Amino acid sequence: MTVVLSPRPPVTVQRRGAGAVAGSLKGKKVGLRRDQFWRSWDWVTDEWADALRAEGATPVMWRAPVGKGDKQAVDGSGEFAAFLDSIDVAITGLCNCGSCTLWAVHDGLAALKHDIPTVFVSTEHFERLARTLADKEGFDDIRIHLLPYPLEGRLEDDVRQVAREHFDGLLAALETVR
Amino acid sequence: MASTLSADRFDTDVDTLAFTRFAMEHGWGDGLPCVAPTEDRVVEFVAASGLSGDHVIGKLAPLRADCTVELVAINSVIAGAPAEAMPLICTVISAIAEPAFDLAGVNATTASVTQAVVVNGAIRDRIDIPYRYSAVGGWAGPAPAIGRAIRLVIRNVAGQVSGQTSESVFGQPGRVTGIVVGEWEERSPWVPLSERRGVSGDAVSVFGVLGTANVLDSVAETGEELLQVMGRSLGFMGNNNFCQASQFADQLIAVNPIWANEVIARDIPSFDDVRQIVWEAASLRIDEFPATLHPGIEARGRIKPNGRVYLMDSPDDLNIFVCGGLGSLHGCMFPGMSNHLAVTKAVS
Repeated sequence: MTVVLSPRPPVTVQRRGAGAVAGSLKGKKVGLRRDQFWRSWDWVTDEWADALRAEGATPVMWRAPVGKGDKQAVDGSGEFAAFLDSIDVAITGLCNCGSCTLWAVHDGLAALKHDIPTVFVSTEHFERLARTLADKEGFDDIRIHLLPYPLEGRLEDDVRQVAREHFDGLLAALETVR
Repeated sequence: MASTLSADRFDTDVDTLAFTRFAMEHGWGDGLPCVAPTEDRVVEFVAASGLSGDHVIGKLAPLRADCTVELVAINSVIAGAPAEAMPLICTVISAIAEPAFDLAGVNATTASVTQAVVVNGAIRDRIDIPYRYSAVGGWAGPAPAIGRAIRLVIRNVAGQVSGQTSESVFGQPGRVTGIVVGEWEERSPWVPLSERRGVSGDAVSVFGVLGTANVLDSVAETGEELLQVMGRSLGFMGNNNFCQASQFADQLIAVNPIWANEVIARDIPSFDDVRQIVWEAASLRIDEFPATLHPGIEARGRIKPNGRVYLMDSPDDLNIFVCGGLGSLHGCMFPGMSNHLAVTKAVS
């Protein structure tokens, strides 16, 4: 037997669970993180913004820039930091492909690290990836609300109906008090 | 000297078959035979890098782990790469850690993207990077092992694992051995690729590419025709950078030395003109796209006044280099990953 060295970095992740619960939404600012990828996610967040207003909350939209490369200075980190500073609760999405899941989770974890109650919205297929990515950073039990897969490719009216039907589930994932 | 290494240690049989089994059981392997990373071998590879083992080259997504020279050395030993390639491998890792490369998106995506490394400078011959026949794959030399070392770092340090942190639907062979190719600078009529990108001497340019595809034109009589064929081939509708959410992407094409010198440069002396022709040819009319793609493309401001959508933001995003055998007839294209930029760095 001979000593060999591991090609992996040592694991030093602290377990951090799911983060705080949202409680009542009345009077709170709820941030909805959009992206550049999915029209369906725009329609869903449109519907949820209306529903959040009906709950007494103020929805705040933020759209993540295309890519994170440095062309045209699209990093957007300053804008994102201001978004996090302005909200009490975060809804991040849409986990609906590989790279978009990574960035939706990345931004959601940033919200959790700011102690902001956060729900990650994923289509069914991409739940595993979202949970894996969050787990790698110690958030081993994130709040996820699942939308049907595939979502893109449905007609707008159908997607908006899905959004309305899923609003109660979204609030349940955040452990809101109505 | 070995005591300066900080990686976790395991006792095991270092016979190649036994160690390969061990590596696969621990999730370190890629299916090919693995060389055991013993302390002596890793020390040799760290020394060859010219850096200290605990030097952090960069943070690699998705795990955002610190990638040290020691970890690169361990993965390079496992891959069977030569120790003298360590400076090149470390430079590639440094390049992909740059924000412009968007490694997070590259590693998690459903697409088949992998790293393609174009090597310039005298280092090509010092470590036998292929740039003549079958340069992109098939030439017997260290390039596949060097590419594999890079890919093992992506797997073991960055944490890209298919079906877990990578959603790549199809993948591609380059996800195992990478793509490592030199430019045949001595047979190119143009300034070397890395120099055009701002770095002279020994250098690597790293691209996120969806694969390689051959472009045949066996009867062209003019440089204009060849460039049109290359551009129209690259600008196919399913190119990742025609995606409705794309804004920009570097694209890469290889031209064989005969086309480059005896047809293209003969007819079109200016390299800027060469690039302009390919850039213009790599475009489609907006009405050629399905209607469902129109809103996204329009929202990105990509429909030009002439009604065309250009694959690349500008001719600057088109990267052309010379390599390949002297049988001519073929070009090679490497379609680029959307919202991703190539990175060029000096190898020191």
